[in-house]
Amino acid sequence: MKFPIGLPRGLTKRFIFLGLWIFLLPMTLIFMLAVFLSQQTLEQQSDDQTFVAAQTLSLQTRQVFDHQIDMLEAFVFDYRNNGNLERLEERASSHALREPVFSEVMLYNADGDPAAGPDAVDSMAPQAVSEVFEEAQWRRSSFVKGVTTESGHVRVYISVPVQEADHEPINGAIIGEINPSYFYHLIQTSTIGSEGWNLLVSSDGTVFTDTKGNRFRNESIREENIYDLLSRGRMGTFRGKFFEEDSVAGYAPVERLPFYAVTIQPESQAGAPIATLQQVLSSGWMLLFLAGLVLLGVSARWIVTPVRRLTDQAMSYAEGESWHLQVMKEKDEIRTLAKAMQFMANDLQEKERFLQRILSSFPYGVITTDSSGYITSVNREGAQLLNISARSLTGRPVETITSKSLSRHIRVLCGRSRPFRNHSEEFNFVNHKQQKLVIKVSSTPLQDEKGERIGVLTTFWDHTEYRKLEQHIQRSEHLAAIGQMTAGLAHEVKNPLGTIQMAGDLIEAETEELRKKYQLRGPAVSMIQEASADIQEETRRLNELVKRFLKMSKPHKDEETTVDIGELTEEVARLVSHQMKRADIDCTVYHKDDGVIVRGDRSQLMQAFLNLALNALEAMERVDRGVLSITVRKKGSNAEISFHDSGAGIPASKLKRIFNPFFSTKQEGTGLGLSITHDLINEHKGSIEVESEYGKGSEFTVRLPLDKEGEEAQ
Amino acid sequence: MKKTAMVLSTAALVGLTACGGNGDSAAEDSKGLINVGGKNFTEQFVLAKITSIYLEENGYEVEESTNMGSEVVRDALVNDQIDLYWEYTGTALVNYLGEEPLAEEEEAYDIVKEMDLEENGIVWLDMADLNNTYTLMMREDDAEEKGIGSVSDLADYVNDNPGELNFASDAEFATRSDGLPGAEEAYGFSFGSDNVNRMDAGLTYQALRDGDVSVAMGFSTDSRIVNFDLVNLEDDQSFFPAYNAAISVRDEVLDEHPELEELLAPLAEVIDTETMTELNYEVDVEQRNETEVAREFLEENELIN
Repeated sequence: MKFPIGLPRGLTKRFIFLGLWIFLLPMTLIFMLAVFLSQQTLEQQSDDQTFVAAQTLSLQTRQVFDHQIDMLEAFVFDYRNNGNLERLEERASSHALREPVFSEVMLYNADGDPAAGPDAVDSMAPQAVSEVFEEAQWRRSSFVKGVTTESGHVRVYISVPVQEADHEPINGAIIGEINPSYFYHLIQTSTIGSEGWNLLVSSDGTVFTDTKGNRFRNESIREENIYDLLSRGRMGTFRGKFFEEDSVAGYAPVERLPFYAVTIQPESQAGAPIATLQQVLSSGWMLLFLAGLVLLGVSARWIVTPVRRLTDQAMSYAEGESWHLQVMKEKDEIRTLAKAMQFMANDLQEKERFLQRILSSFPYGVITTDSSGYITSVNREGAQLLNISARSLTGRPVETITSKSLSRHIRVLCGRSRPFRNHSEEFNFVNHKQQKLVIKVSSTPLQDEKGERIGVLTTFWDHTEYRKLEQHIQRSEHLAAIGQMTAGLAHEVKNPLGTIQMAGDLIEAETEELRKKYQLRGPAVSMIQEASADIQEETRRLNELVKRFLKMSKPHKDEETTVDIGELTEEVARLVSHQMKRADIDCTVYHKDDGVIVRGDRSQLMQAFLNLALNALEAMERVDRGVLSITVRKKGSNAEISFHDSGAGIPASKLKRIFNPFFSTKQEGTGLGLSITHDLINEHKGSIEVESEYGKGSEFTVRLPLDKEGEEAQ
Repeated sequence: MKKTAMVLSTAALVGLTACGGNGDSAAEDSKGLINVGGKNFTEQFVLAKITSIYLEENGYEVEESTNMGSEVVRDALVNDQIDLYWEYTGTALVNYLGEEPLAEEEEAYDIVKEMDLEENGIVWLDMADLNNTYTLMMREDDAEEKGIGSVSDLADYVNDNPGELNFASDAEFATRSDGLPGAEEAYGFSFGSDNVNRMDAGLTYQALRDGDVSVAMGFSTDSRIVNFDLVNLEDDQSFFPAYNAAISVRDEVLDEHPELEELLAPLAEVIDTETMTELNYEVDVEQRNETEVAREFLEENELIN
């Protein structure tokens, strides 16, 4: 499955991965750390700020109470000095009017009743006041008490004992109720920011006053998480829900007073700088990250692209395209690599071209196939022979070849599992010009360097000429044989014919003498005369006939040309090379001298040499690894051509007769080959002789007069 | 292709979400209401605050009634108005039990503990090594210079250099048998009447600091000892009456909260004279919040976290 957006692969992937690790990830980590730390710091700051505000609030509150207690205690101190209870009562009552912190202040007598009498206006809750008074009785010192009435209202009182001396039993107490609105306004001053608010909570968890318009006054915070902290006498900062709002709350108990001071900042306000900072840092990170990615991309291109171009080039080179990449401009390793690769490619190309040239110059058709029978290459000669372009054959199954026999031959070998060495075959092939050709095929296994068979190498060539020549030799040999036989017959006839002629002449002469002597007459005599005349006549005619026949049967040179014996022997050797090879005979021509040229009939000389070569071949048929050495040299005014074979040899008894017609050491031989050769050499004013050692081999030596003009011309 | 890599890395940034801390879970049900009393001087405010916070942190609801006179707070304890407070053995021995003062700390405590329970149903918890009693003081550098670390050293010095050192005392101490005359007798020395400067009790520290006198009487946990770089001379013969602080608690309260005895024991272990002086100094001189000082002390001693 392919991704619509290609992920980076290979080098680019590695590069980007590396870049991410080395640059982007550390950067991200640093950013994260920065954000985290600054967040911590800012949080700490806002915590501290809130806590300090709560402490301030606590202190403010305490100072107010301390001040008021001092004032009331001063009244009592005065009373101790002057004993004027009425004045004390008056001062206490009027104090409430002067000090907005009190809603009311009253002097209570030893029984806990208002000293001003039962008619005194007492707006304070009597139940709560009696509770305070009771405590005043046993504490005998000033104190502040918060009382939550049954209706759930919290009331706060200052109680100052009236006594003769400190810690003595009390004669009464000045009890003042605190006016919450005073604190409502007082604590307004220390709120934090526009959203922050403060509250004072009594020790039992009831809100005494709050700066949100006393919205929570008399409500209990015992269910709030913060109360748990407050009730344990702790101070500090709390983050969490407070009255269902995410808040940062600073809290501190008010020293020696039954209050907790709480400063609230909504999380949104407290966290605003954090959010801003985070936003700034995040966008900074984003920007840097993007820039980093772009940079990474660009540098990836910068570094990876040349490498990729190189690899692409190498890939397409491997697929057969030529090397066309320009050497890069930068002097770096890639340039060196590109240069090296180009050099290697060129070298390889050169070598391949060289091999290609060898293959295409090869005078035989060559086809290679892989082991499954697909053609891997065809050389030029092969393509020409089959009249089909190499390109249209390569990569196709062998059956594409126009010659069914050839393809069958290869197919069989491809499918052959047994090893084979050299497999030859011959078959007819009608080419595109409708010429009937004889094709000879030889195949060997194609092996890799480990000796594993990877296909079949088939060599094939046009064998037609050779076959024709071979037929021609056979035919002329046959004709020569007939000629020789006829000549021999004529020779045999000629002698008796002479005798007959002489006898005829004698008969005529004797008859004439007898007739003259005896004057013989008569028809009988003339009949004898007539008959002998006939005999004479006919024998003469017959003799003429035989003479003419003999003359005709004698080999004669058709046309004389200069013949290069060296070239000629080479040609002979080539003609017989296949047969030699088949018989496992090593046939070599040694040119001791150059320009060995004679005058004569080229085809007759060729036949003579061919006969000698074939004769040697036959002599070595039963010999392993026979050797035929043809040596050409000049000797005096003669050309000397020797055929030395390592064949069976000729027994000495037969040695003298081997040039005789109809003499043969071979069973199938006509006995005419060497005889004809002998005649042909004679015809060229040459000589032939033989030396042989039975069982070891023979040497035929032909001598022909050198052509003087040709020599001079040279 | 780089898009993917970017998305991945962006995801890493999301890991930056702050983890909002929240406080402890809601308060466990209160183990009960304890009313902690206290007298009307700094040490008592601090001791009451230490005790309150310690109890609150251990799950009690606490009401504090401090700023009371010594006898008043004792009455409040006896009369069920408060549940416990820090009292001094010497005070109880002399003022409540009508006994003679005792200098031996352990002895005084043992007697108080036994008698108070028997007579008044007041249990004395473990005594702290905080002895807030009379003390003889010198300037720290001066004491060091003269090689005086204890009252015995002082006696030797005075005997060696008669008339050289003068002494600041309030009138009561100068005449009481358990005051200067007793001490002079017990340690075998005498300043000589010309060398004793009488003044109000609160002024002796300043007189000593200002060099008006070489030796002064005072109370052993007074914050000014730290503030003025003064040093207490060791009462090595245990002459001055023991005023060791211990929590006194009504018997019935312990019946109701038997665990209190064990719970409060560590407080007595960690509070001693020197520590108390330091705490008094923090509040009186450094003007620090009592609650803060108390909590800091408890935290330092790993009594609360």
